[in-house]
Amino acid sequence: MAIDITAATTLTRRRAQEESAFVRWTLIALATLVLGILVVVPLINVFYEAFARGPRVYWNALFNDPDTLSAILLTLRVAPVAVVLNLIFGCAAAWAIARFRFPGRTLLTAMIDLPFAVSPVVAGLIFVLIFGLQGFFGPWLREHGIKIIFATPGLILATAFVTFPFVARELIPLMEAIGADEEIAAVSLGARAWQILRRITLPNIKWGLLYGIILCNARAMGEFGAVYVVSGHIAGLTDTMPLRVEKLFQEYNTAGSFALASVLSSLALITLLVKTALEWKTRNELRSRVRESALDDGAITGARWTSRPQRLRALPRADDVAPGSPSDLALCSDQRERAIEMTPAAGPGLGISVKNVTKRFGNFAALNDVSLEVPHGELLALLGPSGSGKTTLLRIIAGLDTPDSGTILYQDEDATHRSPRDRNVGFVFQHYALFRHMSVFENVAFGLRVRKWKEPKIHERVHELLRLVQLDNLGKQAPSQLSGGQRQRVALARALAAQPKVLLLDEPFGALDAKVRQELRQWLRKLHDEIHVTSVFVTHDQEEAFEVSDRVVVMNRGRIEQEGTPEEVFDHPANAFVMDFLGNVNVFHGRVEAGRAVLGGIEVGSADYPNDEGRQVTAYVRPHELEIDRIPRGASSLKVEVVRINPAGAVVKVELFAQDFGFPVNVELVRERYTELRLQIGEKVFVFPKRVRVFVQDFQI
Amino acid sequence: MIDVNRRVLPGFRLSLGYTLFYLSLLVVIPLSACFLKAASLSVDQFLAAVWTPRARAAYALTFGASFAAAAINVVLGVLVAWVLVRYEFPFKRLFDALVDLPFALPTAVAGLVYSSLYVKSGWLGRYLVPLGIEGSYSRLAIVLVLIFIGLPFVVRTVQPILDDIDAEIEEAAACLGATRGQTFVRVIAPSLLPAVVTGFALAFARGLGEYGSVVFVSGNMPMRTEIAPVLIVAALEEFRYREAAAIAVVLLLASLTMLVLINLLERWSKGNGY
Repeated sequence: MAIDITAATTLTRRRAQEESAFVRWTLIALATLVLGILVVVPLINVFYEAFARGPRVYWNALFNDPDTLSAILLTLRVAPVAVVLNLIFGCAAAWAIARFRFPGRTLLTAMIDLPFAVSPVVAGLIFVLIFGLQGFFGPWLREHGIKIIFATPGLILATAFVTFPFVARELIPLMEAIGADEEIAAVSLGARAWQILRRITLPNIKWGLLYGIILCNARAMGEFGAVYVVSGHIAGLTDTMPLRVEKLFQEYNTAGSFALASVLSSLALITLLVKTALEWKTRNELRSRVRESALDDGAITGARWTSRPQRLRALPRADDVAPGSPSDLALCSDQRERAIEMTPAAGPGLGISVKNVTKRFGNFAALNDVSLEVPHGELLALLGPSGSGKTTLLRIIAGLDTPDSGTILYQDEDATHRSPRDRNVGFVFQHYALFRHMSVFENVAFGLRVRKWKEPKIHERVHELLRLVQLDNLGKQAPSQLSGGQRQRVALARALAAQPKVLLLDEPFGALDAKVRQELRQWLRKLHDEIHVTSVFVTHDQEEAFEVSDRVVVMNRGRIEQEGTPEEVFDHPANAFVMDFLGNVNVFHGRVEAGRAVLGGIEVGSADYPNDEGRQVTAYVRPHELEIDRIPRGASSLKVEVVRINPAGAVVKVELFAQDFGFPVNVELVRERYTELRLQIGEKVFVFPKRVRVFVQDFQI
Repeated sequence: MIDVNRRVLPGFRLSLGYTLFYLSLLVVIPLSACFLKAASLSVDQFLAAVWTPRARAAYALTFGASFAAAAINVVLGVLVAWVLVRYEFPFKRLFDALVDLPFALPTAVAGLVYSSLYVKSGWLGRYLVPLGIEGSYSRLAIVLVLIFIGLPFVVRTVQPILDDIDAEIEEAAACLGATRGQTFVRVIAPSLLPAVVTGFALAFARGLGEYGSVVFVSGNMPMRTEIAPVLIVAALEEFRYREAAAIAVVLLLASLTMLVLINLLERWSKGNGY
């Protein structure tokens, strides 16, 4: 049966609540008894009966009976042909079913189970009805002297029918569990169909495939009912091994039938042995993968590096890294001097432009008439909440998705319908999508190999990139042996290897812990200053966007809300959404009265809103833009009570409550001001907004 | 993500096309031929072929024996799965591997050895036959061999589900004051139910179609120990092709119904899973 990956990951746990030893051993004894009587005793009996009359009788029964010998040879001819037919079918069916969605997919999957439910006798009968003497093609076949029924082709057909599910049933769940990430990554690196099959898919599924083949073979050799109907029982000609067992049994030739049965039983035992070995292998691989990712992140900082001082010393430090900094990610000075060849020379001007792109998934508009320009060499962040369309836009730029309408230009050439391979993009996937069966070196080399680079050039280039991401000494490691941060850097090196025109990163640091994320951000920024490849990265973390990018594009509900430098976007948010999305805010609701915004006790501005009399307004004040005073500063001060103080942190966070109006206010104070004020909980104070952004009801969040 | 792969990953048309081509050639066309052949009979002829007393006895035996074997397998299968998932004991891996033997062992071998074990001189028959238990050439023999054939279906359906039940759920039940027995009946058993029913259906469906092992152990006496697939073989040997097709249609409809049922059950158990 299927090698169950999910079951394999759950290791046997000790339960807090367990049966008493007596109950436990009674149940174990009962189960052993059941299996013993049902399975073990019959198995031993087969071999006992086969060998009971001595080895000479056994040998004669098998090899001195010409009909038995020809049955063995016939089975050895029929089964492999059926297995090969079903192997090809199984791979095709698994690729179609596990990798694509199409109408009728469920029905097709169910149809593959058909032989499990159909009686083998019926399976044999249907071929007799078609190819038999009285069958639909019977007369035609006889005319042309072709014999299918009561001959080898019929045996092959019947065997193929009964065993066709085995390879497919083994591969479909396995491929679904593995997922398509690695294959999509290979596409983005420029691999063609057969390269994906040979280098990615087959290595990943090889154990499942092997077990499928072995199981299929065991069933093919052992098939009885279907073959029984089509064979005609011509001794020495159309009797397979199981049929011969039956014939000998009918002839009361116990020695002969059990001798042949022992051969078939050995085959079954070998099948079980292979299955167990493969399960063991898969389980161990999974276990090591689980263990590695458990220690994982953070390992590249502190611990691992200080425990290997020689490696640390071997790396020249950059001048601007503070002494004693644990960061190993700063670019080294020697690399800074090396001119790393990244992009084909292109003048300043446009890198990528997106024009009026719309993309719908069913009724959901993921992108709604989006236009965007990314100048050559810029590092741009797409920032927005989940579902805002940022990842869809990135995938469309990469060619991993096609827009419903609109165009994508690469340096002024229309690339909308180009394949990812022809666009020459580097794509860094959120969960890395490293090829698990390849070393770090081979992962980075993949894009070059599929482009048929020469071996010495590949070596040079891969080492250059591994040096760039500071993993030169880990080239031989498997991805599962790396920490999260290291895997991310391998993914980056792999994406950069084939000198892409554009580097695209999908939430590149999303799966890492806070400290590693912080380091990688700074490192990515420095790397970009180094290589200047036009880059777009997707993030939902505004801090990340501000820290890394030249320019930020804020997206929401499939539209671009604002674009600009981090400073512009943060200081001059275009609308309420941007204001609210970028960091904490206090929200005040109010109305326009006499041209002034009146917000629960605070009046803002002088007659700024002459035309909006009486309309609802929303005002946003960031916590650090509120001042706390003991005496009011005119009409703009609001009387509040101190509810809570959180002094742990770079700034002191104070929670206040405006009792007159019934809403909370959050303030962030610098430490000096906090010490000066000596606030007490329960104290009545005043808050004064240094800066307010008022939006007359144009946008509801 | 739904439409993405088809544009990005290659080979959709080729793989689906080949799959459909192969299935039509091997499955759809032959099966339709069977229905076509049976359709050449008139309604009366059809009924005369499929509804004789001998055929009715065979259907009853096939369904009855498969049902009994599947029901017994539910008890044995849950026991084996429970022991495999929950306890550590010597030779557990060997035990685990042997559960799959009925899956890999040719049915003819199973039939051969079961028929020799339960006869009067057999290893088990020498103790059972004096007690009046005839485990060979009887209806009991059919049930016994179907239990062997069906066991892994129940064990391998229940095992992963049992493995997936979170230890914390049982601990929560214990903290809320449930005894071990109450925890099993009220917490574990309901989560296992879909898997148990699916396993039952798989073992039952397998029993309905089983031929190889049964012909060895049953003796194939009409009206007493003859199963439905044997009717088809008997009709074929007398060159009554249309009658054979008619009985095959009945069996096919039964197995297609089982297939639909199993698929619905699997969907149900997935929906109820954790």
